[in-house]
Amino acid sequence: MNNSEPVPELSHPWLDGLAALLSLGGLADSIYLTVTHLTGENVTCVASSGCSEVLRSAYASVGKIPLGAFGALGYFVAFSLATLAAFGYPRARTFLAVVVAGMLATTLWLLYVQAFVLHAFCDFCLLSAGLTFSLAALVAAGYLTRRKHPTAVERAPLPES
Amino acid sequence: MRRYLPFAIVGAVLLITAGGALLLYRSKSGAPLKIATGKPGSEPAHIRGAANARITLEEFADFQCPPCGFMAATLLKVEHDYADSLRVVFREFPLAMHPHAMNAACAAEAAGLQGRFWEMHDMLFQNSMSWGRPAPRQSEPNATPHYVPEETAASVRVIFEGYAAKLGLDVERFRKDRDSEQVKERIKLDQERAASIGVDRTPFVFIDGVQIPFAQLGEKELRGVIDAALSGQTPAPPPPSPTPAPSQNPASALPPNSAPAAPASPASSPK
Repeated sequence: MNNSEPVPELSHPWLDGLAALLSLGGLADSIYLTVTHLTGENVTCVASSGCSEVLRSAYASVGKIPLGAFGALGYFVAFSLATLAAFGYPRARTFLAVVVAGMLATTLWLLYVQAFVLHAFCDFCLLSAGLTFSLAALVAAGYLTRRKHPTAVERAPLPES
Repeated sequence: MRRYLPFAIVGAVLLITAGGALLLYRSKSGAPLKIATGKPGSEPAHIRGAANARITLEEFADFQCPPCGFMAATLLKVEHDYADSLRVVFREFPLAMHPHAMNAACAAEAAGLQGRFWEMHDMLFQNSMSWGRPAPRQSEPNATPHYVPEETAASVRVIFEGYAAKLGLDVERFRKDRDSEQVKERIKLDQERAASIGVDRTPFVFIDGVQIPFAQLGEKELRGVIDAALSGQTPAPPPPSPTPAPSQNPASALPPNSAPAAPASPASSPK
């Protein structure tokens, strides 16, 4: 082994790739919610029973901007960072963790609002929450399983005995 | 090359996403404006405002639809400010996705038979958060500690009877009327009118027969539309053939997600 050999991989790129895929799913979900909000379409729930209560509540927008638009932005940024991380940009992984932490906090707040304020849930919001939880789990797994960067001593060639 | 690949992927996804969002938006809202020239609907219609008003606003709404509730509050203010120039026509369009919408429509029509439609209309919308939560589906756990029990069809009907009493209606007659054929026929006629002019969501509003897009139903935007109509600038009429042909079956002209509710069956009504 010598110093010219490539540095061992710091993390699992497939985790980042999976995070990018999940972000794409969230992006699609958020865009659908944004468009239905803007067009006034009545959204039908399949698994839950309160889509219109949730999506037409005062909590569904910030001013005139639908919450889904913020979600789309968050998922797109998460997708971009996860993609960059998968291609070996280590700082992207750090930023991804920050973004996903923000999304997780927002998701927890929105789940609280659905459960205890509106007393209604919507499928698309629950899907988004599931995706954000999965993203957070992937990011956490990436950090926990990341191998340490080898120090100069570790990378130095062993003396011949 | 590999260095730039992630940026190319992100750029491609951005373009595809923006294009997809635009297409979706256009497919859902970009349809040409519709003109209300279909079937006549129930007669006499529920009309509020000056008889000789210069502008007629026709609204298709569902009492259990939250945006319709917001719209009702907006309309109250707008009607007040344009009292001499605006006339509002209300049409029933209860959606199947709202389990109490048909019951509410029947209650409003039954109150109408005693001359108090608009009072019941306002009361239903103002209190929709208290009666409008649907009962949980069978698959949902209803034993969660914080789960607020929702209204069932029977309890909603009792609530509506309370509203009728509050409005000074003959409650016994109200009970009979809301299950009557006359009430169901009125709702059916409004639904047929909705289907004949392509109404597919709620609230759906026409001003002087021209559809007002959902994005313009906020108070400020609506005032702008009314001001424009008063100054003679009516929305451009749509090109021919955007509206579906009149149909004997109103549900057939509507997308599955927005199918109007079937008239309440007597079997589901508490006796």
